[in-house]
Amino acid sequence: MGKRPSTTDPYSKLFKKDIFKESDALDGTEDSNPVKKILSILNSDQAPEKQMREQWSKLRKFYISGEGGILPDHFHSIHINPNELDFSSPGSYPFLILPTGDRGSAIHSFGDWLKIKLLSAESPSPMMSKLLPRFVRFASDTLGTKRSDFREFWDLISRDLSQELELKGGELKEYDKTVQDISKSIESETRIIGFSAFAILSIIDEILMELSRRRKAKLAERIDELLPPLLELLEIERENDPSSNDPGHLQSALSFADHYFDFNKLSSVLPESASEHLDDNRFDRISEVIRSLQSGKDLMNHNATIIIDEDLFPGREWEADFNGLDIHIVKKGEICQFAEEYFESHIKLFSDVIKALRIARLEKSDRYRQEIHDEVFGAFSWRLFTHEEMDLAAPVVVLADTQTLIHDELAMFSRILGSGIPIKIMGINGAGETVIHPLTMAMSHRDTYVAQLNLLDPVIFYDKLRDGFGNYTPAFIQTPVEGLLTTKQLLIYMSALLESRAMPVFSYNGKKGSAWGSRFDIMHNPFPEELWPVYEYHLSGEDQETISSAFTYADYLSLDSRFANDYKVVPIDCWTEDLLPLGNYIITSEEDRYGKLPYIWLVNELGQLHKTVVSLRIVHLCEDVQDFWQYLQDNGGVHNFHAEEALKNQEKTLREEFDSRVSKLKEEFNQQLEKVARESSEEAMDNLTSALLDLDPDTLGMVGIVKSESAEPKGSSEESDLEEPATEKETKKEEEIVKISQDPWIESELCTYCNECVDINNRMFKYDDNKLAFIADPNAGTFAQLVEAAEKCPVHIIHPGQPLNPDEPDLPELIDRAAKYN
Amino acid sequence: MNKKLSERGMYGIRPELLDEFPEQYYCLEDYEKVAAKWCPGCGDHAVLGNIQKLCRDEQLNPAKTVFVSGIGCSSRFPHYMKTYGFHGLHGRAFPVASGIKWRRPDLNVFVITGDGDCCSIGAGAWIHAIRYNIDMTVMLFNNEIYGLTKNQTSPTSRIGTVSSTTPLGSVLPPIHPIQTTLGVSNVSFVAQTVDWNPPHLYATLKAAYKHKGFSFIHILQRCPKFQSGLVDQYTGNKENLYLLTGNDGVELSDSMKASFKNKVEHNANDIYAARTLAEQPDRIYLGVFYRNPEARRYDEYGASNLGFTVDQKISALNKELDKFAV
Repeated sequence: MGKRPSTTDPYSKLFKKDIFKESDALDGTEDSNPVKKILSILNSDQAPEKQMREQWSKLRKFYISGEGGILPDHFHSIHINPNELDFSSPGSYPFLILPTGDRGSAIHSFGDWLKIKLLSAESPSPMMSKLLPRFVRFASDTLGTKRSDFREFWDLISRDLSQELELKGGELKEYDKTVQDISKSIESETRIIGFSAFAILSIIDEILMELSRRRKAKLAERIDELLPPLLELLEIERENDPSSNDPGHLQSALSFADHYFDFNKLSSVLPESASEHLDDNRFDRISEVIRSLQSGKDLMNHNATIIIDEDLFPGREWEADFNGLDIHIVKKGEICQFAEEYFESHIKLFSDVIKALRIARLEKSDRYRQEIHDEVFGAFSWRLFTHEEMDLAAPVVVLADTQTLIHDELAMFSRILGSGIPIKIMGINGAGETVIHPLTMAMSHRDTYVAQLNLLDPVIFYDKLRDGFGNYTPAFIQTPVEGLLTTKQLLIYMSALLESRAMPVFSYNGKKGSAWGSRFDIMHNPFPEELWPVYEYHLSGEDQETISSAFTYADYLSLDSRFANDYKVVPIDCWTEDLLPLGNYIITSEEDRYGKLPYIWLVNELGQLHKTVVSLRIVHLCEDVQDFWQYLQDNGGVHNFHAEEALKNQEKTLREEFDSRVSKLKEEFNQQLEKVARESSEEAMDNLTSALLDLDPDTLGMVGIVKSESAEPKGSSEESDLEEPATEKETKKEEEIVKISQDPWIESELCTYCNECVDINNRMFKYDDNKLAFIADPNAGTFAQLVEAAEKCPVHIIHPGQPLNPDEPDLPELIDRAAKYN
Repeated sequence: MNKKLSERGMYGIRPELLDEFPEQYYCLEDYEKVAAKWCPGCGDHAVLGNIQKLCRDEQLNPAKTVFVSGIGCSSRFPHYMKTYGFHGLHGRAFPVASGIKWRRPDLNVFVITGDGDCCSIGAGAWIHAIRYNIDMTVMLFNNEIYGLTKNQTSPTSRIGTVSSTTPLGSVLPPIHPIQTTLGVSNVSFVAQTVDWNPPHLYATLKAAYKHKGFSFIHILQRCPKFQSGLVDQYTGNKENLYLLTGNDGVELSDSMKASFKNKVEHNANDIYAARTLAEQPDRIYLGVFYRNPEARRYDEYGASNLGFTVDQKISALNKELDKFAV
């Protein structure tokens, strides 16, 4: 289990300060000690056994039935503790959308951007660096939920902040200079977006406008490339007009030579028409193509379409911000139907342009073949688009409540995803219990782009959304937003959804890679390798005690009033070993759960910790959430079941191999040892016997001599052992050469394809792709057939070699006959 | 792993396959019709195989290629090619082929003829075809015997050939086709090769095909059935084989060149040198004897209509025909 990460984790920043007391929300942010020992556990002696048993039976009853549970006021999950949360700078907000050179845009947190600007200034100002957090907070507050042009906004906040700070003299000068330098360096078309539910709409708008800019440029480029040559072709055709030979026309064309020519006579001697005419079909076709291409230019005025659920983002003030887009407000239950019909009718116009582009390309190089292409283009539709061509079409985006999609419009929703129609559907909200899991359902259509995103990290949000919108497949992107919450409530809500794995951030790109796993990305979640994020908290007291706790789905649900009766605080005298942290309880098997109860930590307004048992209903919900998370992990390459199994198997095999090798070596060693022991004892015995037999009082030293003599031949035999391999090698090589020369073969290059050999045995002799004979299988026939073929071959290119089967009859005679051809 | 749908193209169809139609690539099978029914060991097989290879290598459209033959063993050739073919009258392959090329200059015309078909009954047509110099590739299969009619002496059989028509041995000296061809005015391309050396055969066929005009190849060809004596004399003896080297356009690999014992440097533009070589019938020279790309081609005058319109032609014809009006 992981430890709580350092303060760089963007999500963990959220959990430091009170969120509910608006008045002092921003106070004390300069606190240099982010980990405060605020939590304490009340001490108590164990209750008498009888009392405890009663308490436990109540708890068990609650666990099963949910009866008697109540989440007291001012009790919060340890992770969502209002006393500990800080909302001064949520994630990367506010953030900037900066134009890049290639008509694209990049996204940057305002804080990071300003930091870089200050550091890279010619004369860095330390005062400004100190003011940085103040700038960010001020910008965040001033901006609110809006999107704004950044240069104007910068001038505004820098002026207001300067008034608020009441700067004077040199400081004011320094401030003004830096601020103006920065203002000058801001490129036009830069925008700043603050944190709110409407940021989703702003980001969608930015992405669609960016895609549109690129799309228009590409389309214009293609039309400009193909339109002029066709116009020229028609121009030439017009000049070929038979009437061009009439005297009046000639006179106007050759007016400079008026006094040389009699135009009536000239007209009569000119041939009717010097060059060939386009045939009528081709002329009509080209004219039609030119019309379509010219209308394609009009189509470029259209950027993109948003079809939006009437109940989403009520109050239409935001619409004014999206003047580049075509917005349709549609009733619930008709959204997908409307989107599909709209797409089909709209893409039809566009497919005419694409068709015209394709025909124009063929006509330009005179490769249009009427007999084939008429049919192909007669049945042309957007389904024949290439990916690039699809990119040229204006996207259609649907914004709807996920619940609506799943309950009221399931059939149409699934039809769009399954049919390949590249409509981008954004499911808003989606948290909650549905029978059908919308994301897994969308992924089951395979060729889709599916993602779940969270506004907390705008950079990821922006990138993934752009991937989905720029993709030529249908897309379903789900993101939690609750328009009615205050900014702070929204932050709590969004981060709890993310941390508790209720709505993990991930993307599935059906077009990315052929392996299923390569299409997933789950790496933007907190602790993606863990089941739940686990955080560590310091307790008050001198012994520096800490507790760690998993951020489970039950912690998230504690925010939800509908589940208030599913929590029951455990009296402190019942804290026994039978209480298991929920994170551990879930991964415990059914048998081992017996007699245990799951708890999470809650903290009251005094910072005191309470173990709180959750009901079985919550446990089931947590299991469900965990199950989906594990599914994502498995696909995202973390704890992949098959990979882990394979690893285990590999380890096992290696271990077995190693063990068997060790035991084999041991066995060999023992045998060797035994052999040496036996031989040396025999030798010793022999020596001793012979010495004893030959024992002569005069030659008592003989034993030594016998030994040295026996050693000598051994030495010489060792030498011959050394020589042997070399000679062996040579003979082997010679044998190989002999063996090769004994194989039958054909000088294929000289084969005259006369069928003699093939007629004898067509399994032994075959022709290659160039009609040259070769021996396909020397064992497919007899040596006699080989010899016969060699004799019959008119160009004598078959070499029968030596017989492969020593048992063939009449071999000596055949070998004699073959010798002539080898 | 199977390729994903998306890699094959959007929605499963590659649009370029619909829009662009790549030219067809012909392989050997596109020129093969049925198995040749010549005797095993016959030299005709080698020519057939190499012509099919040439067609493939030059990617000749079978629908734009014609093989014209007369009568004889070798003249069965058009039956074995999956192209257009004309198995015609005895000795009349040249007039038929000339007509085809004249009317349809876009076709590739090949003529297959044998020693009887060309040098005996078709000799008159042969001589004029050389002079007309219409663009076609002519292969004279010379096995010095009438094989199809089962062993009769042909005009190219050497003195002493024993056959059913000359049981005591032939008495007249044979026609030498190279010598004859070189003697006709406006001759354009004359080469000689042998069927038992496929690389040289192929290279010569190719050089002839590339030549614009009447490309005449004399192919010495074995008949294992009725001229089996000649086969060994040809294939076993490399002493009297001479490879012509020089500017003859026959492209042989170095190893192939090295396999020839005798080589003679020869200028294929020099008709007198060519005739001198042709005067030596006991030596077999392989390669191009003579080549003149400048020789006048009668098909050029025919196909380009000499500047007359159709109407003009019709009225001229009518004027002529009117002379016969009664």
